[in-house]
Amino acid sequence: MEPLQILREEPISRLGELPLSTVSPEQTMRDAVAVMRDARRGCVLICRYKMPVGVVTERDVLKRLGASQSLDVPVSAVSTGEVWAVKRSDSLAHAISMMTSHQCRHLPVVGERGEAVGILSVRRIVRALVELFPTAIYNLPPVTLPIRKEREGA
Amino acid sequence: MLACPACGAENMLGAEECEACGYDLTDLSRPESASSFERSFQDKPVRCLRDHPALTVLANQSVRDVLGLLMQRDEGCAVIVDDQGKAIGVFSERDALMQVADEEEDILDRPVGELMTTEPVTVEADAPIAFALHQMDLGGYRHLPCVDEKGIPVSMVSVRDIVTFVGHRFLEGEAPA
Repeated sequence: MEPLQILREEPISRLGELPLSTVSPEQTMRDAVAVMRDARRGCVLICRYKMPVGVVTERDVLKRLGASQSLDVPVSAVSTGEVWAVKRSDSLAHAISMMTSHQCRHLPVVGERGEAVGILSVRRIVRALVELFPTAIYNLPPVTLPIRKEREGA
Repeated sequence: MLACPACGAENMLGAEECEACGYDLTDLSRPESASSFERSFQDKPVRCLRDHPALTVLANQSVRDVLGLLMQRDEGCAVIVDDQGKAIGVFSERDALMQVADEEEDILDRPVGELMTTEPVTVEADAPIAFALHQMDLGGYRHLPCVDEKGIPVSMVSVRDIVTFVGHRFLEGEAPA
């Protein structure tokens, strides 16, 4: 199949299990930071009864820190309350379009009843592109860069 | 086998130059991608992506200042440069989140040079997008400073730029309802 056709037709569920980190609306920003750090993710979903009601990203946290505001406030007070979710059955192309049009790095993925089932990150999309187009991406002129075992930095 | 376009001699597949006449075969040895979609990753250089100047800071600036600049400029990553302007490190939102939130006050006033990631992986503006994509996937990086031949950062390539490139170039008109 043509790569573009794959993007247009294959559902998000093709990517397999996606990570999901959640907090409840009453938990504090500090709790959300702890969850992000443990999971090494830049985004947690605010869920009430498994339904996503908001998103907290690392940028929200850093904005508060940069402005010397406390992290001991409920996440619901900080989150914008807008959730751009995608369904597990939506195409990868749809997810990419959503990220592009809303300029976000993470999208909550929901199941049939609207329950949160995962978070799709822009990084996972890049992984998918690399997996879809191995000819273009792996067969590049050799470079003499060390391959790092751990992710680090940017 | 690969026939040399200059002299017709047969060469090994993947040969960089013709054994008979020395003709440069690197272009022929490059794998042929099936679709224009794939080819665009190989053909288009990194500078075709959204071009935004890199946020450069000095190692002695405080983490608080750098965070403020990142938020103000809506950037996810700063490049730390030495007095010659060469990239010596990066400091990303992720670095900040992992290190700053613990003992906020203390760390916010420390120089960013103490917390940066040294020897960052960089790309050149002429490198194919596929190369940047590969580097990001390998290292798990969200940002790659784009440097000129002297190592001076000229722009920043982010994972979002690549996804936006795909979105705008190929999926235009498929915007979600």
